[in-house]
Amino acid sequence: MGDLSERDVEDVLGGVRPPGRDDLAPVVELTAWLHMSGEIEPPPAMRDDLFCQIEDGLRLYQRSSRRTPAHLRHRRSTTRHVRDTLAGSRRPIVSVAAAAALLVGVILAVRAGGPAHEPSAFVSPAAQGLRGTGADATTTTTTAPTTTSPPTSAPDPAAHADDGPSLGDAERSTTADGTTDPPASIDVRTRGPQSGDDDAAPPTTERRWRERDDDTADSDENGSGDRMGAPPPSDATGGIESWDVPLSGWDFDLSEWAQAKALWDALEAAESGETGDRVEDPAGDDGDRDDRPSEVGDGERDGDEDGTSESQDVGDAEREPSPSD
Amino acid sequence: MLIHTRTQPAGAATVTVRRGPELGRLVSEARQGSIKAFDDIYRSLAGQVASYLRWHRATDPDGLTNDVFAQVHRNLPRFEGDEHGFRSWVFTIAHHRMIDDRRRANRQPQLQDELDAAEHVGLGDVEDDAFAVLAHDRVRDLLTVLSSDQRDVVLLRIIADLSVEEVARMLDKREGAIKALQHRALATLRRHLDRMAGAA
Repeated sequence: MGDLSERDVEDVLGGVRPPGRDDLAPVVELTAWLHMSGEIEPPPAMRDDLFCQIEDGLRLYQRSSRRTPAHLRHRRSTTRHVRDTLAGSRRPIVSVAAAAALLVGVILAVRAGGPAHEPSAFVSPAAQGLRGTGADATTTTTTAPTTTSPPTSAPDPAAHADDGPSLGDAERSTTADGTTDPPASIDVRTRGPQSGDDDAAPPTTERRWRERDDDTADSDENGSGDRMGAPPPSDATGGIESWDVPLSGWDFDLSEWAQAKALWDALEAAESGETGDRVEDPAGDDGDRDDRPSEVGDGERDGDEDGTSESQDVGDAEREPSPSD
Repeated sequence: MLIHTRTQPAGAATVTVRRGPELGRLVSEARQGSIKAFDDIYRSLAGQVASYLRWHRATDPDGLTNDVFAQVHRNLPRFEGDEHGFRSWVFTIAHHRMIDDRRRANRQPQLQDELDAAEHVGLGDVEDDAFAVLAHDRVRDLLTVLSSDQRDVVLLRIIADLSVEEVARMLDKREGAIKALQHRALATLRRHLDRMAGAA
């Protein structure tokens, strides 16, 4: 080891063989290879993060390392932009005033119309008819003067005085002979806000009631004497007294759903039995037949065991085409 | 301005190595925010840094090289010194990165084949690549006979082209210790080569 001077070491490390030192040729070859490998080594590909870092520039790193993160800087700049935008405008004041006015309006509307529009205040057309029966002594139609249904019960008019805007009560007029005459222009499907009770009814339920009313009219015309909400045709002679379903609770409470379903099934069964008769019904040209429910409950149209229908209060122009039409 | 251009044998690519005032000028421009100057610095030194890391059998020399220059880029505004100091500074960062990688590799050992495959760098020609691989493996085996300190000194002196003073400052050792280490390293290599030649 003592034969290597400091100069020889520097020459060997530099890849140069010292003069007269052929014994160091392998070591010199090794160091020369190391030199060459370091110089021919191509620079590795620059990664994206390093490239982006260089592209961002050095100014970002000349500040403190505790700079605000990028997402916070963006949020801060956005907040500043919004603040500057709204600084010279009255938009916030107008927005707050509009929101306050809207809130007050909603509160007043809820307080004014809340009790009259309770969900439990919904009364089905059948129940309205029964209520109308209780409120009015007799009910007739304008187009069928020969058919007058007798009162089916002796109700107390005051008992239904607070039932709200009942359709039968509100639009009904009293004739000279003491009978109540509902206007022919009223249609269930075109009733306005005055029939607020029906507005709360589900569409499917309303449609079912219309279908049932149509069936009832057909049945009356066929002399079955059926009425809406009545038992199946086998009990056609039975009046409303024979029906033990609590009509006052026809607000479609879930507790009564089973009974309503059973009744609906019975009516469908009856309808299926009458379908053949209806198709073969030669009364397709009866222009006076009522195909839609009247404002008066069907309960008051019963008793026509002679086959005549008294609920022909709707004109022909408003009549929907029946299947026989 | 001194620019050494060496065309290596066996089809090696021509590499332009900038030293002296050229590198100092690039560093000065890069500190002022010149992207092109930093890109030139990267092209001048990244290969040597990658080679230094590769001889140290780093797990990912190219990735570590990128990490080294990312740190160089971040800390460049705080750098003060000439071109020699900048070169020493870059390899100091590389050396620290290599130590971190070595510690990390000790916790997560890799297969030897993966390390060998990562060390070989193709030059474009199959025959030259084959000889390069053989030579590379031979040199790598020779370096394994050195101690860690001896290998660090030899590689820093040869690959990084640093002086004894710079290596001593970098490794936090005295110059006499560095001279002794390099002297013993060359003597060990000589003995090993003579033994190999006698065995052949």
